[in-house]
Amino acid sequence: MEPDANLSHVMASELDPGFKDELAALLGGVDLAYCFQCGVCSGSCPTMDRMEYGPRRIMHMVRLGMVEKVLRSHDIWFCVSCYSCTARCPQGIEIADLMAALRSLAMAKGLAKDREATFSRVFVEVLERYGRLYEPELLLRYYAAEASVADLLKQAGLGLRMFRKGKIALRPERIENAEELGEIVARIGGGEER
Amino acid sequence: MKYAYYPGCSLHASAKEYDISWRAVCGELGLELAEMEDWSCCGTVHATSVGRLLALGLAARNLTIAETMGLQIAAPCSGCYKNLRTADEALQRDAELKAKVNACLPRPFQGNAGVRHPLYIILEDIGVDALTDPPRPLQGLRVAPYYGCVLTRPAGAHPVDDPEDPQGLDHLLQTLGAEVVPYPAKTKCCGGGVLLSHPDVARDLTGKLLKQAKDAGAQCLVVTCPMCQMALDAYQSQVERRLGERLDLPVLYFTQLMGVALGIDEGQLGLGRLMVSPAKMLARV
Repeated sequence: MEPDANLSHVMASELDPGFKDELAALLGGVDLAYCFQCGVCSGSCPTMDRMEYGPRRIMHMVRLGMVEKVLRSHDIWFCVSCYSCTARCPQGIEIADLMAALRSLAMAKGLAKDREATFSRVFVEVLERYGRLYEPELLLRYYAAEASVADLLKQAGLGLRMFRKGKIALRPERIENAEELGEIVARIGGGEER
Repeated sequence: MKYAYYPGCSLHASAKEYDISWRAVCGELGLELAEMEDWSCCGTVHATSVGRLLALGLAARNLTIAETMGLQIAAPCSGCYKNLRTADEALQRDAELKAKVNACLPRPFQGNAGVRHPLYIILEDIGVDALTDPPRPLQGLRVAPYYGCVLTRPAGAHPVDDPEDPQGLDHLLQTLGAEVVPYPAKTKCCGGGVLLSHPDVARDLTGKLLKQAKDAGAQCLVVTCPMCQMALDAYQSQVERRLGERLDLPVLYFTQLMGVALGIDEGQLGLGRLMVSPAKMLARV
């Protein structure tokens, strides 16, 4: 993708210098000041060709405090959590975990507009309901949330073949102590604190 | 040797053959598994995207179940393994975080269970020396070992293998008589995490990987994770259409191929549940 042409015209009033600290707190005190923009992360990223900025620019934008641009970006949802960037960062910054923290902030602030955000949200809904994953319901909820019947139908043939191989359960497995799990989730609470 | 077995959601559903073959291999090697009572989903990468504390809480509930059993966890899904392992490490490292998560748990997390992956349980607790002369050596079979991402990454304080050039699966397969095919993508992402949300990305990554293994002369791929297996096996026909090329590359769990080498009856290894049939390739062994 073409880099955002507006990136060079950033209004200081739109910047939040506390953004990097907010993130560091979420990650247990990672110091983003160690990033010297070498670009090994972007060079190692398997989905770099899909991204508008890539992890190196995202790191810099976080340090500048470009909250909206970063949290609205699809880049954080193209991250496949392969941890190649984390493994190679010469400064030991946990970049993949930082991307996850950005995703959770984007969701908490209502700025996440990616299909993977929808998927993550319904995944946790199904998990909270049963304590375990139930794939058929996850798929139905996901495609319903995305209003995408055509995409659901595209999966039908494969679903049928997987069903014949005994790979799809007819009924969900539910854990016995669902209240315990419910309480844990409730105590952890919602929003940014998560 | 006895372990607290955490199958994870996939091994109870789409990856039943991983559960079946892992149990069969344990039986053959004298490893005892006690499935954790009332285990819950580890949260996967998706819970992490919703919130780090939520992901830690979900993982910690399971860690505490193993702690009450007094056993190390054996987690065959690389995704579960990574989530449980990194949560275990993070909570041990950070007392403040541990207190915060413990305030939400019915049983406090202590950090004395330990989380392990079956591949490294076999390599470390059994050892390749005990496996050098298997009943049905995998002679003449060219296999591509695939480690994926989170079996070895993030590395953590005590890495069991090299995060980017691991050798464990290579050694195991070579010990069992197979010829291991080198190819650059053995620790590159299969796209399994975004199979449904970003299908184009997933198909691209899966296609690159399968093509590389095929071009390197592999007759099958051997994996350690149900998400990788699903991406590479179930979605292989879609990848073939995209590439305009037939691949026909079976994708086996390492426990299945290991079971074959150990002389376990093929009917006991769930081989018929794979989408791309391994029959032709197994006829060579």
